Amino acid sequence: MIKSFLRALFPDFFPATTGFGSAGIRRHRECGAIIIVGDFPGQYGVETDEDGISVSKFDVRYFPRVNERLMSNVGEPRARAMSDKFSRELTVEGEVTGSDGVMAFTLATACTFANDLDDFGDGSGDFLLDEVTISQGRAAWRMYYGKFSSDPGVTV
Amino acid sequence: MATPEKKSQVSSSKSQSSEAAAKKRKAAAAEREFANLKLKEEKLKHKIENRIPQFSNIDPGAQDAARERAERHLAEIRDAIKNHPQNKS
Repeated sequence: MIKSFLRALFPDFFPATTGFGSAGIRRHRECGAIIIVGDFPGQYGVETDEDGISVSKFDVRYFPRVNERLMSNVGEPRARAMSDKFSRELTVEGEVTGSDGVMAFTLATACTFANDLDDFGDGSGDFLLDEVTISQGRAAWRMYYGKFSSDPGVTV
Repeated sequence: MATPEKKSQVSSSKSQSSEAAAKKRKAAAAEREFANLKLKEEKLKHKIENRIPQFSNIDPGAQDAARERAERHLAEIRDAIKNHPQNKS
């Protein structure tokens, strides 16, 4: 406590500390460096950033657009008609940081992203913009909420 | 009207054909599963070679972490391909 008081009075005599736990290390950590301790192969955070926003959420839903059950005489499914390729729906959220990337998308054009969109299926079909909400609030960041969808047979 | 003998002939040929159909369906499902594994392998290879080098995170270690994860998944997929019955047959 005395040391910090003296440091405040005579800063020239008490230069900033260096090494582990220093301000430099803390700054680095604040920039987003994440260390995973232990042999755990999981992913923390969104894998990569998207241009135009600081991405906070990247949700992709993979599903067969056609998935109809054929009922038996007693109302139990006995067969299904299914699409052989996945359709996809994407929700992206983040703080607005620019005008390029996701902020520059428009209707009826193929939208491309930096993050994974083909964890399932062959990735066929272009992503089209369905809707975007830009949100501003008191004491809050300007936010981007985008919804996109893709069907395997639809390309621009 | 079918005699009991004829009936049993019909039912046995029916069960044979449904067994054959089930076998065919299972073989088709295994083929789809194997094709999916091969596709995953290709996608992961493409991600490691082309997409990850373009990742633009603030964190300088993010690319390495993504590459390490993708390589781990690729090894798992290659293992699954190696041990898949479709590959052994």
